[in-house]
Amino acid sequence: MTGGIIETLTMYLSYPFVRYALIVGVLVALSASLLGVVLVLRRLSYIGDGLAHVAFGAMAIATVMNVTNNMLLVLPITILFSILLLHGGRRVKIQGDAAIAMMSVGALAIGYILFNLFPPKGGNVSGDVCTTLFGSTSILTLSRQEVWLSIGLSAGVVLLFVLFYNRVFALTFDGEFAAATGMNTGLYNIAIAVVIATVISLAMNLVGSLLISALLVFPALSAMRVYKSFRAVVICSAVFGVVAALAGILVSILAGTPVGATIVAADIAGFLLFTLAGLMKGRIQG
Amino acid sequence: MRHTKIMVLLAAAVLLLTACGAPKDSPATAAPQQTVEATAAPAASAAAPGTAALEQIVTTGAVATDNPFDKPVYDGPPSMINPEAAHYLDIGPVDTGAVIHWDLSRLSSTMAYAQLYTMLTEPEQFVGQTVKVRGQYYNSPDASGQPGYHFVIVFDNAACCELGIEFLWTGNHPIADYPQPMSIVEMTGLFDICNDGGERFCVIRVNDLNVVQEAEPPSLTPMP
Amino acid sequence: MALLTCDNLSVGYEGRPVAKDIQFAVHPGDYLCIVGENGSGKTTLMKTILGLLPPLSGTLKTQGEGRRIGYLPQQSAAQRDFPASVKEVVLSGCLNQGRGLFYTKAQKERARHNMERLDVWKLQNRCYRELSGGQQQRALLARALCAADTMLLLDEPAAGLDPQITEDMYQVIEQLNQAGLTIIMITHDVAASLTYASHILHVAGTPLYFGPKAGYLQSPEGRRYAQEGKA
Repeated sequence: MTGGIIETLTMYLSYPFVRYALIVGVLVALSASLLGVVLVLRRLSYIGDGLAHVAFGAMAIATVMNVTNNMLLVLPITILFSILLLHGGRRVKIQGDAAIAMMSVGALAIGYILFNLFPPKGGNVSGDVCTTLFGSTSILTLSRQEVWLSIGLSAGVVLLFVLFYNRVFALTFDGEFAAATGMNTGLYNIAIAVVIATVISLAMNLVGSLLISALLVFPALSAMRVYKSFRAVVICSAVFGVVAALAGILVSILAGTPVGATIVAADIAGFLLFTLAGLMKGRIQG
Repeated sequence: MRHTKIMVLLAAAVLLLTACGAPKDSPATAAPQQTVEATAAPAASAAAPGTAALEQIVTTGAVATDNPFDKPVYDGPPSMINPEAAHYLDIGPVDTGAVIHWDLSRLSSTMAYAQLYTMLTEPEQFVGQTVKVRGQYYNSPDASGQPGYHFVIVFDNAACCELGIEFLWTGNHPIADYPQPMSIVEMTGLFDICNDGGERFCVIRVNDLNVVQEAEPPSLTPMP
Repeated sequence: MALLTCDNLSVGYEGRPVAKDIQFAVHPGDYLCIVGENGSGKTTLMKTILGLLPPLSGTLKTQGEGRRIGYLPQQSAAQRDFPASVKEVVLSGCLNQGRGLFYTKAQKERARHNMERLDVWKLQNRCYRELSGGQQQRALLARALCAADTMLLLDEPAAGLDPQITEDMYQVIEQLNQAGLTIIMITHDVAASLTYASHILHVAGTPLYFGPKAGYLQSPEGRRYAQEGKA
């Protein structure tokens, strides 16, 4: 029976779009799971979803305005909202989670209204919306350029994370202490907000909003069930994200299920597994 | 500031990434509705999956005109399989060979959709290869007003997006030979890139058309 | 030569002052306790000294080059749940002491030394969230020492700790002061401030008293405070 599966997989791997989907899915999962650790520990897990919806709204505006390259509008708008959410701090009158909720739903609604009032020429509105939100076709219809883009993006994120690892830890654990010891926390918070917004905007086009929010959150949460040190959590999160993405894509290919949702299902399965492992570990250690 | 250098690098990296995202539009426009239209339809089905694809398909082998707003004129051969042919319809029965290079009928619908998308956006590598497709049949009227263009359309799983490709049934088949629109058809043929009066488009050349499930003809009774 | 001088200082948020007309100086070796009711502006003052908040008016002078001040803030709930080993937490105190991206051997040695000083070295690989309240505070104190050179600022270091642990904590701080570290401590614990401090600053919107401890006990506020403490 395994022979049959291997044969089917080899057949599928001969299709270029399958190879692209695997590469991009894994790389985006890697970047997202690293960033996700920071988000989850800052109690901002829902921000991935919120920003992805903001990006969707920005994309609607860009399409309506017939901008040649959507990213010219999507990226700045998403970065702006990201900075507002992550760096608002005491000056923002509305609490973090309420702000995210409003932005998220508002952007989605306005975006959808715009798409309906000004449908893109020759476009399929529900297809657009479905593709951007659920991403089942976007990850399977990638061009070679997009593969290179995702390679560059993840290399950038991983590099930044490794280089600034100690500062990221200090900032996430105790931003106030870090500021007291002289770190320019304002600047670093902005930098983190920019990186997260960039990853979400680009990844939304590659894998859809549903998937990117899951990729940000599940690996970090699962790693935290079992591991105790920040370094272990980060490494485990990265590995988890990559393995879940790989498993999800392969299963969806074989079973014909939508790619994004299957990856999320793999994430859920992994999370349950890790929760169990954490409980058992706790019991053994008494 | 101590970290100014790093922040400048970060800003540059972000700007660079913006530029990299350039050619392809959102995937939203990548999944167009392949409605039946006139001559522009075959080119449109290949072109609509994103502006990048449009550039690629239309400008490869294209001759620029003086007016920058005109679509570039394609000056490739009428048929890439048989470059000596005078007109793209002049090709006789094709030899599909024993091997099917791309069997889309075995794939799940989303996968078949994705593969068809690849074939329409990067068609050069598929010319002359044997393709088997299963999908819904549609036709559209030509200049005479009669159904003259025939397509097979593939939907993704949720039927939220669709993609179609024109097919050419060798031999002079009258319209009565073709099934009702929306019938499920299956065909095995050769992938080809054709040129019709400066318009470039992709087709599958088939010898046999296999109707898997005939659709009901449209009802003629008026609405109550 | 005063390490820290405040002159007609006014502190607060967004232009709204919480405490005004603050005037005091701290010299090397001092042990200053800042006391007062809740909301009187003690934490705001400490944050202003650290540079986390801008002073609203008046002057604040710290001697020497910027940030060799250690800080033990009040803990937040999020931190109590954070997955980090004690070693990682303490090492983070060594950040910003060089241009490097990674910790040097000297910094790791400094962290080890401070962890041993506070008796948390054997807990170095334990998860921070699994420690008891007292152990967590000691780990954070080790972190503050990594960042500290001359002065240590503590915000309610014994909050939520049971009496024996509290006593141990104050002992440790006293030893640090004896070893030459200047201490500024915010505390509600009247008895402790009266036992250990060399100077008292009583803040209540405007400072009610600043000066040596002996003088405080003579002043009306001091006597009332001491009474309330004993009661």
